[in-house]
Amino acid sequence: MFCFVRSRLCPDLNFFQSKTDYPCSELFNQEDGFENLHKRIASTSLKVEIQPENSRFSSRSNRIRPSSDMFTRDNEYEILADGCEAHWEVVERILFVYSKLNSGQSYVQGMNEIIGPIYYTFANDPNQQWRGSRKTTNQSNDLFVLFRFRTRRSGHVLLFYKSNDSYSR
Amino acid sequence: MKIYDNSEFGIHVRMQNFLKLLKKVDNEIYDRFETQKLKPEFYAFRWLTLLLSQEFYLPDVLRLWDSLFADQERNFEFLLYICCAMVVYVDSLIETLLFFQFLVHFVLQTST
Repeated sequence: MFCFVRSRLCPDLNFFQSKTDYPCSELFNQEDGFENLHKRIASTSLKVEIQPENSRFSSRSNRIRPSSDMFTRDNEYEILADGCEAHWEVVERILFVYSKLNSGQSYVQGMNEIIGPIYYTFANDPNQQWRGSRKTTNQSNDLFVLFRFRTRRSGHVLLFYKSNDSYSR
Repeated sequence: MKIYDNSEFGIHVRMQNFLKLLKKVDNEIYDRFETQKLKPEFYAFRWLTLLLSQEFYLPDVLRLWDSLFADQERNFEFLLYICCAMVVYVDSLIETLLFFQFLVHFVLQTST
């Protein structure tokens, strides 16, 4: 039955922290040192982790900081090796492109929830070939087209126009 | 963008459809919600916009969406049925809870 208390981060969404087999090679081959979101977040979270040591709330923040085995094993923003991408980065890119192409609608809170399960299904296709063959960005292309198709076709996208309005208050 | 709210696919109309269906399915719950002024905006908003993806665990969401997307031609009408089923299911739970609450009160009052 459905859960009122949402506790589906583990193991459901842990998948998105893991490494994708089909990173976008174009991004990593750029000459001008493109800094991806992963690295930006890593540096930010590092800062946050150092700060509590000196603050007077250190005892409290120690408790909050993920210290248990479960968290250290699957560190949320664990830095992957160069040339690797986590699944969530692929999703982030799709949403970014979507918001740029649909500037009237842009990104609305909750879109990630719609794309999440769709992406999960694509990325776990039983047929290896379908997961992202031929071109490395194929998978995100397919997914992007599907996302757009789905939202447009069903008129579901109009719900998000609405949600845009009520969330921005 | 607000103009879409009241359009055929907008969220307001969707909620109204949901209410109509709830009235048809279980008039008692509908009436109670009416008297309590419990609008679907308070609880069904997330259900309808996120297609229940936050209410269930991922494997269940995938199963559910399989059916939901198959229904795409009818603008996710099936989703409204699922939401109604959820309300009806929870309602029986709430009744049990209220009964237990009543029992506890009863026991407390009679024991003192």
